[in-house]
Amino acid sequence: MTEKPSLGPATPARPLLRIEKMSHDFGGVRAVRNLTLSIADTEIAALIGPNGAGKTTVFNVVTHLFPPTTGEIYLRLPEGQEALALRHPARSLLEFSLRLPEGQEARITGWRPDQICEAGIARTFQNIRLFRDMTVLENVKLGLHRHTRSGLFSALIRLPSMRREEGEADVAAWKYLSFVGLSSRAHELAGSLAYGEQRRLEIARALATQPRLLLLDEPAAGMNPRETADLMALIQDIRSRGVTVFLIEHHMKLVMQISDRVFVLDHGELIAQGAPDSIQEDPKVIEAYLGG
Amino acid sequence: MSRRNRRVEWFTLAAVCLAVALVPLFYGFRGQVPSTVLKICIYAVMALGLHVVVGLTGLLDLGYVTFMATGAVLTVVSMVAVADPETGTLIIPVGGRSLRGAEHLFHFPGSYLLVLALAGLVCSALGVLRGLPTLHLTGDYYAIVTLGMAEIMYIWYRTAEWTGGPQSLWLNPPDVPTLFGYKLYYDSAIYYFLVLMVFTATIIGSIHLRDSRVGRALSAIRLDPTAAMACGVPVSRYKLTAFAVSGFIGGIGGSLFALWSNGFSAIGMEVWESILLVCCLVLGGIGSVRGALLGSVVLVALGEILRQKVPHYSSGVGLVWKAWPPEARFLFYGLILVALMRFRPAGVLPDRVAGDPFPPELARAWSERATSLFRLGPSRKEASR
Ligand SMILES: Nc1ncnc2c1ncn2[C@@H]1O[C@H](COP(=O)(O)OP(=O)(O)OP(=O)(O)O)[C@@H](O)[C@H]1O
Ligand SMILES: [Mg+2]
Repeated sequence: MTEKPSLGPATPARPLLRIEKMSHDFGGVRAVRNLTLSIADTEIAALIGPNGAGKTTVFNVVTHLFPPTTGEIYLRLPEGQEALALRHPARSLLEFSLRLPEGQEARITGWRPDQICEAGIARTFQNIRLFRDMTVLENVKLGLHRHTRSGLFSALIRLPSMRREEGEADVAAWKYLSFVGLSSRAHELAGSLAYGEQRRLEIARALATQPRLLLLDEPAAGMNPRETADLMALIQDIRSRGVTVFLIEHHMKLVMQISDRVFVLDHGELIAQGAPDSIQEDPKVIEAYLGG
Repeated sequence: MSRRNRRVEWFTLAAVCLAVALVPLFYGFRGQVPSTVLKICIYAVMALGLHVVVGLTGLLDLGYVTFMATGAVLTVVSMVAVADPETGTLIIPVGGRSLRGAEHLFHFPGSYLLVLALAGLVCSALGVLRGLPTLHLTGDYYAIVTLGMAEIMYIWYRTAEWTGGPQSLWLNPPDVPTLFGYKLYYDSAIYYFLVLMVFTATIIGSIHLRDSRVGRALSAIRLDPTAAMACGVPVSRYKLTAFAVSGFIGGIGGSLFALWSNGFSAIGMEVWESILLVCCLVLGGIGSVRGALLGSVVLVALGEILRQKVPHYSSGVGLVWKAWPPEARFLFYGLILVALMRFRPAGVLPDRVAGDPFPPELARAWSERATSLFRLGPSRKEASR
């Protein structure tokens, strides 16, 4: 940020997510180049750019589907939350419980995806990745995985505590479904839902992990105008409940209407960031989109 | 399209167990029928163990016979092991010879239950050990590695001295373990009901596992490991859990099989047994508990039927009665699978295609209870900041 102050407003004072000089290579292809950006608490931030700019790669690296080639990612830990026991970032199978200082930034580079999820980052995928052969409700219950406890032995003999937990998980999952408007489809197979419904189900599943940062990869893709309008309201509702939203979107109307800040990526490089109005007039952005 | 109805499912499975329990009323404990029923039950136990990895977790394991062999060899070796009367050292009498005056080392009240548990635990550990280097493999690569590892174990058991090598290790009557004061002969009532109990417990456990948080996580790994990770499922740990459970059941099945076959022979533990178990799952429908049972019934029973003598035409002599060569059953298994792929690619009894029906009064009850449990995003404290 400090290197390129001309790009936009100052870095938020206490960012929730901070990406520092992150690059990612696929063999010889440098998909993301030296990216530095910060997302503030409870804002809606958008990441835009032409096809193949490297937007999805940024999400994949943040959620550690693959680690960055270089660079670091930091996440600010919740303040005042009682004893958040994060797992040791070591990629080993032994997981030491480790209490990290509250309200401080944790370096999450190198964590496993499930640890990133536990730390409070949830996501959806550009090419919807639901568990298609499971019911809608079960999909959301998977989102609740980290918030339920019962293990192998209580499962095998079906202890009362496990049954109670299952019942509570059903109710909680159902509530997330009502939130995205899918509760009436709870017992259908996820794969049988319409496209727009699948996207909303993915959001419900991600919300069930109770994230502080929600990454949405092209949530409006394939939606009709009415569904898109509903989606915009949904995203704003999510933010109003204290979840920070970082989304990738090609639908410019959606981006410009709901986001607080926009980042523009082109050929893996951040070429602009700022409020939606200023971005629309930025000559570099116009060139990136028109010059292809 | 069929829905999975829990009540119907429990009813069917209870009926199966009851049927097994009633067989001795008509046929006794000795003879072809009870022996085949026992073999079916033991194979069904192992098929359900394999189902944890193949059906739930979605990894094709072609080396499951390793657990069967390990469970069997541990059982037989510990039961025949004697102390040398002069030196007091441990001896495994290979080749059916028995030592006069030697004391069995592992014969004490309840020792078989201990051996059974041990067979399970050792195979569980073996499953984890085998799983550790293969955690990142999927699909064909995983299948090939399991196949290779099973072959290594097979060659070891076939050549090692303590397993009897290419010879069989027989359980002579004094070697047969005792349970509650009764000898566990392969045609004894106590053995029959022991197998029935393990069989029932495995079925119940399989259904419970499938309908639990752990089973859901395993299914998620099968359906989309990336999405499972993103939902917070520690994929490696759950895969290891699946390997451990699967190995445990395999070891138990192997131990019971050793009693059924009254000994251990490495030659009988070839890769074909793995393939047969996979076929049981495929025939019934991968991922389905009822399917695994059906597959075991059909394929094991067919194998036994093919052992019977049938009329063969022999030139010059005319019709003679003789059995098919043992390999012939694989011809039939192959034919069945080809027919299956053509007419019912998902198996005969595939797992449900939709969830349980959803009564509206449940929805109302849930929405009332939900308010107290529902939390969206960060804790209230943080959100209100
Ligand atoms: N798994 C991968 N292996 C190799 N190259 C990849 C992989 N994923 C992406 N790429 C390459 O990295 C570059 C950036 O891809 P990315 O998917 O991040 O773009 P994007 O901005 O999300 O595009 P779109 O708008 O089309 O979704 C592209 O050139 C792409 O071909
Ligand atoms: Mg993309």
